[in-house]
Formats: sequence, structure tokens, C-alpha cells
Amino acid sequence: MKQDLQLKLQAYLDDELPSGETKGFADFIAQNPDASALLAELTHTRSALAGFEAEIKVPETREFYWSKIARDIQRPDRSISEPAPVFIFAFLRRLAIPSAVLATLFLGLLVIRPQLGVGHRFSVAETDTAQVDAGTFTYRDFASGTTLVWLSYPAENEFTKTVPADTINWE
Amino acid sequence: MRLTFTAAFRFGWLALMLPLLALGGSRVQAADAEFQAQLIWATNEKTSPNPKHKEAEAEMRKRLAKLPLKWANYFEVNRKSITVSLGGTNRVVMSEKASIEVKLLDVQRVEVLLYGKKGDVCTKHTQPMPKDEILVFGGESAGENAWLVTLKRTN
Repeated sequence: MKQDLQLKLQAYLDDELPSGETKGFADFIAQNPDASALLAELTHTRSALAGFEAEIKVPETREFYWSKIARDIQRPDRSISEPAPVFIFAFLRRLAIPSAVLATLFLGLLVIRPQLGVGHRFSVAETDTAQVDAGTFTYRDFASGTTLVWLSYPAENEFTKTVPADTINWE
Repeated sequence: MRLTFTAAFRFGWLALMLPLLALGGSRVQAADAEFQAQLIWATNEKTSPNPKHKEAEAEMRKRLAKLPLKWANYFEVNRKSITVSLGGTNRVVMSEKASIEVKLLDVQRVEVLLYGKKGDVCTKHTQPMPKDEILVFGGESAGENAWLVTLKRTN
């Protein structure tokens, strides 16, 4: 069935056809089984939809009800601009505890590190030997962490002259 | 329960300060440094002239081997422990005529003085000394031998 015929059938159902055409179109439907079937389906559909339309009554008048909706639509939306400070504080609040923990760990590491001697490899410039006698030299083995201060005394130096009985006889 | 910003800030502040206080306490305890001083006889002889002396410990011999010393054997004559508090000084006698004094300048830095026969200072040495660091004073002795005074930080 052509679309213009279908539209005309719908107009007939809605009683929108010109009065001069109504009688002739009714005869056409009666003789055409497809048109009769479509009319019956459309009639059934309209009656089904009409039965489900809920009849809601608002307490206000129709004009007042729609004017209220119109005012709500035109009112500036404050719900977008106001929550911003709340978001910032919530963000800062969430940051406060992790930041404090991280700062604590960092400061703790700074405090503990020199006590543990971790990562500290001092240079020769940090050593200082003030020699009372001439001929002292300093050697440092960085790999083993051992420093030698050699005193170039004569062989008969003071340490070896006299020792207690429990030590070796240096003489 | 939702924490307010103030409560969260207080909690964070406490979380920051409590460990710092704890660390401060541990720092006071850690301020005491412990050292071990040894008087060592260095020689090329296979045995010490004094049978009471034992061979220096393997770790010490290994450390001494890293130094430009020509001696093959090292015998421990005497050993003393030294504890020094931060800013404090401690002196121990290693032999009748030799003593060593340790001053803890800060948590790592030490000043070490070596005293001789008449109690006069032979040398004064300053350096950082973290744990396991060894400082060796030495000099030649009669014959082909030498004396060593080692100072190792043990804690």
C-alpha cells in the first residue's frame, strides 16, 4: 500500500478527511482488504493507547503549573558554582595525611642517615692530621674504609722503649 | 566517619611530630659511640717474640693488607674498648708508654690523639668515622718491625 494512501487512511480514522471524500473513501476501504486490515489495526492501536493514558491532575491551575516550570528553567544554576570550595577542602583534607606521612619519612631519613653512616664516603679533605713531630703522612683506602697515619719516627721510638710485662719485650 | 579538615590536619601534625620525637630519642641513645683499640706488633717473623700474643684477627689482617705496609704478620699485643658520648672524650692506655684519646665531635666525626712516652701528644688526627671504619697509627720499631695502634668504630 502506498504511503499517501496510508496517510489518507489515518486521516479518515481521525475524521480529518474533507466531508466530500469521506463516503467514497469508506466504500474504497470496504472493497479493499488491505485497507480494511490496516484500518482495523490503527483503530485497535488508538484504543489501546487511549486506555493507558494516565489522568494526572496537578493541584495548581495549568498556567501556574507551567509558569513554575518555566521559572525553574530560567533560574541561574547555583549548584555548579558553589561546590568548588568544598572540593578544594576535600582535596586538601585527602592530601593532609599522606603528605604528613611522606614528610615524616623524609625527615626521618635525614635524621637517621648520618647515624647509620649510609652513603657517606668522606674524602681525604675531611681528614686532618696535626703532627707534632715532622714526617707524618696519611694514606686512606676508600674501598675498605681504613686510614693509616704513619709516624716516621726513628726506630727507637717512644712506644717501643718500655712496655708492660704483659706485652712483648720490645728491646 | 568523615574527618573534617581540621581533624585531618591535627592527625597529620601528630603523625609528623611523634616519629620525630621518637627519632630524637633514638638520636640521644645513638650519640654514644663505641670503639675498639688494639696495639699490634708488625713483623716479618712467623711468630711473636712473646708467646702470649696471638695472631691478629683475620678481619684486621685483611684490612691491614689493604694498606701500604710491608710486614707479613701481625700480632695483637693489647686490646681496649672505648665508649665516648657525643662531645665527650675518653682516653685509654695501650701500653706503659702509649695511650690513645678519642673525642666524639659529632655523630661521626672524631678527633684522635696519640700520646707517647712522656704523655706528650705525638699526633692529632681528625676525620669522620662511621661504623666499621678503622684508623691505624703506626711507626717503625727496632729491627724490621713496627708498632700499630688501630682504632675501629664498632657502634
